[in-house]
Amino acid sequence: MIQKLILQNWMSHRDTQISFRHGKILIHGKNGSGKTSIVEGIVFALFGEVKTSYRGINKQNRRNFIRDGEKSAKVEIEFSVDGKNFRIVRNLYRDKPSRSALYYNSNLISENDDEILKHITRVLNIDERLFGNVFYGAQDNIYQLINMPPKELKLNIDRVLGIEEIQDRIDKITKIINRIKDQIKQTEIDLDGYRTKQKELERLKSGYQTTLSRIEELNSQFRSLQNDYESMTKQKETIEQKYNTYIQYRDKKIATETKIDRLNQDIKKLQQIISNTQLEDPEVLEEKRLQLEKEIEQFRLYTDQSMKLNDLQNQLNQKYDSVFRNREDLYRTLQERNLELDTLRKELEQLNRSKPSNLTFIIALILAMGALGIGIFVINLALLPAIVFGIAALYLHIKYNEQKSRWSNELERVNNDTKRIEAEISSIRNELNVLEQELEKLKNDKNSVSEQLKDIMSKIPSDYGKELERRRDQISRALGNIESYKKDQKRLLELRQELENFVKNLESIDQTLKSLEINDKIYREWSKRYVELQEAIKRTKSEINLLTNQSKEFQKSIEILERDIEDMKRKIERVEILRALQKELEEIKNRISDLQTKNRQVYIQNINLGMGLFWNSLYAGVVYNDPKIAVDKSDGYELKISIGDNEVSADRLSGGEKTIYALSLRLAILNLITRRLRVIILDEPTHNLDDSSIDNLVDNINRLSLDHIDQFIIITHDDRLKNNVMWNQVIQVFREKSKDGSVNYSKVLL
Amino acid sequence: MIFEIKSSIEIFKQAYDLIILLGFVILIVTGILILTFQDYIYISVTGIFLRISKITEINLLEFIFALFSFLIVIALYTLSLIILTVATKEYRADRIYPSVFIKNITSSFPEVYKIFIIWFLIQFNLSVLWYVNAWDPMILSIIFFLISYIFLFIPYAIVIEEVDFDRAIRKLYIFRKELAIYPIMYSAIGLIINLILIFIFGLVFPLDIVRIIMLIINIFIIVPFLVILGANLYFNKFSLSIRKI
Repeated sequence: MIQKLILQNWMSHRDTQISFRHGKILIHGKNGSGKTSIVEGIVFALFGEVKTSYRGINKQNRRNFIRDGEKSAKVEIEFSVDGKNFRIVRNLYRDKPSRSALYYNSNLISENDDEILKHITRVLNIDERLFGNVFYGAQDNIYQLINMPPKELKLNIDRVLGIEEIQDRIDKITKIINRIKDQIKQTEIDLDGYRTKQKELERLKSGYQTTLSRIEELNSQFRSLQNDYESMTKQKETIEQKYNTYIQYRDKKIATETKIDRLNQDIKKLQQIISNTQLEDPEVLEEKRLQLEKEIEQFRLYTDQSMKLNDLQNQLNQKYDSVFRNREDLYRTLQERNLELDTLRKELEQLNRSKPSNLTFIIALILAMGALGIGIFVINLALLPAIVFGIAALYLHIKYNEQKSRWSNELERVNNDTKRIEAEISSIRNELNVLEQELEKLKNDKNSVSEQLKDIMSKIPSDYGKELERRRDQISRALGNIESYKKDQKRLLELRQELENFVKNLESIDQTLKSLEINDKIYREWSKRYVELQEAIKRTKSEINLLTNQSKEFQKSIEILERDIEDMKRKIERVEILRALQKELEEIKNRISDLQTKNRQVYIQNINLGMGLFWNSLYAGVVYNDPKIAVDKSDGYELKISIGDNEVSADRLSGGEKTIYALSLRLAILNLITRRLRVIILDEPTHNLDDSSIDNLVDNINRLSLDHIDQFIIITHDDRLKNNVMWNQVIQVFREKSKDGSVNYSKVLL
Repeated sequence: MIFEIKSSIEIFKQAYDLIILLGFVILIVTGILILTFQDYIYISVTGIFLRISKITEINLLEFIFALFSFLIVIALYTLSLIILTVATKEYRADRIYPSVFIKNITSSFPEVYKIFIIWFLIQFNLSVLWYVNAWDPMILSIIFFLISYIFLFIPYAIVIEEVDFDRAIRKLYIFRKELAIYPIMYSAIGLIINLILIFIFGLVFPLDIVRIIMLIINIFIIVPFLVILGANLYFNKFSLSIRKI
């Protein structure tokens, strides 16, 4: 219950003190007298701001509400809740920050705005917004809840009832659940390869085991091979030594055998040659040889003569050819000289014909002499042509002399040449005669030699030389045969001796080879086995290395896979946790949602019940019944009321009925949410009401029971309300001028 | 419906001390009545009924006494109904106001009592009419069922909504339109429970004993539970949306 309000320099109030009583209270005054300022003062004092007022007083602009001309203002309220007294003092300053103080039973509780607000909100169980929506129906805002669109009405009622906060929590939980779902989905996508990886791991492990056992097997094989190899390596030197000896003896044997074979062949050949050789009697052969040599000597003699004759014949031929060629040359030269002579004679004739003439000189001279005569004797002018002709004549004369001199030289040369050639021709003819004689002589010599040569050649049969040669060769061969037969015989003996030696040698070699107990086959097999062993060791070693590397790879892959699988397991665990969390959150959400639904049901049931109760007590008529909050199609709230069989919207109620409806709703909500500050304040409820509605309102206020509320405060300028309602307290507000008439301020009469 | 039954069981449990107390009072008064007027009334398996045929034999003093006794029983029943309904209302509304609680009981009592008196008178007159004209009693039973069906929730309207009889009648029509199924369910549940119990006890005990057992069970369990259930069902009227059964 509000007990006392002090307003100093607050809006139009200079110094107003109001003590409120219990029951129905009227604040009456003309427009602009400062009635609403009183209520705003109450709200401001309680919460430090009045957002729901049309003035919108907040922390930033509150100093603007200090009365004009004043530097500071003070708003103070005293109220009681459940028998406990509280006092709030708020001081506003134009030039410095405001100060507030909360007192409980005269003890200072706090001077901090925020703390005071927290205390008040806790004590009254309401905040300024709730107060503005439920307790205080601001001017022109009485029917605010009735006129609200369904969604907004739902939001406001939910907010008033605290259900909206639950919805906020539900929305937040839903968002978290969705995020968890997304995460689970994402992780599940990541985990798609889990089974494949597990199978891969099993495969790798099995492969690894197989590889290890194979390595073990190979190691044992390797050791066995190594032992064999070491044993063979120890034998190797002896074997190789033996084998080298063997090779030596074998080569020796082969060489010996080859030698023996060759000797055998040679012996055979020699034997054959010896057996094939047909020997003549050496004495006969000697005679033949001597006879042949004589014949050869004779043959050589003839041959030498023929050769000399041949040479002579050749010399003669050459000489004849040379003389013949000289004669031919001389003939050609003679012919040429004759031609030259003819040419010279023709040239001479030409020269004779082309002897230079002096006629032009004579003409020029005559002309010059004529012109001179004319010039001297007739006309002086003719001297000039006389000079010209004179010069011309001189020139022509000089030219004539030159030409004549050249012609004379040429003629002399031609004559000389002609004489020289004629002499040459004569000489050549003489030479030719000599040569012709010589040629004749040579011809005769040639014929004589040819005759001699023919004579000799007739004495030597054809191919006689070859026959002699053949016979000499035959004799030589027969002689050579005898000689070589002797050599062959000797050689055969030598060879047989040598063969015997080699055969003995070969026997000795065979014995040695037998004693060595080794041969190529054995050695090759041994070497082959040795090499195979080496290769097997190498192969086994490389296989072991390969498998070791492979096993390392396996190990690495297994480690990587195990890590991956471990990660995946962790992820799976996380997913499980997330799923559990999601389930829990969904459960919580459902529980909260159920709680919200249940709360909403309970609250709305209560409000509907309360509205009905208040409506029944306030509404005098019989037309409307059962005001209630219903759900509309859009899931918003709709304010309904029943008329006869029908349920209609509260919009269609008259102003007075709306006021009652709004009052019922406010009281129902108030009854539901708090029993602490049981105050209802209505600012200008008669605004826009017709007369009958105002009468209804008057009736209803008169009928209003004070069971549910402590103070029912109406602010109005309407005199009918003032005069027709049984008020427990009337506060009259008006404007008064100061004594000097300069300042206009609100004053209150209680 | 399940919610209402659960809620009714919860309230029943919480208010059981009170139910026992009221039940005993009713039982005692009913016992006195039965013993005093055993020739004029009979106990059926579902309740106590007047023997109309014997009414003419009753003298004035007896009549006044009987009437007074009936008024007391009805008053006790009315009080029980109001108390349980208010308890349900406060339980469902989740608010307890001692002053309002008492005021609600005292203000509702005359209206509800009036209804039960009227209902008794209607029943009585119709029974006499049927007896005199020797009409088919089955028809009378159907009429009784229809009347009780129509007026079933009127006492709850009076108590919960704190209205007078006239307003309650007006509200009833709207209520029935919205929740017509509930009275049927309510009646059906009462009938089924009774029949099951009669059948069970009928197998074990003779009919006279079954009648007495059923009377006791009805006074202490079935009727209080149905009263609470009725109040709960009626309370759905204030729900934000109509609850599905």
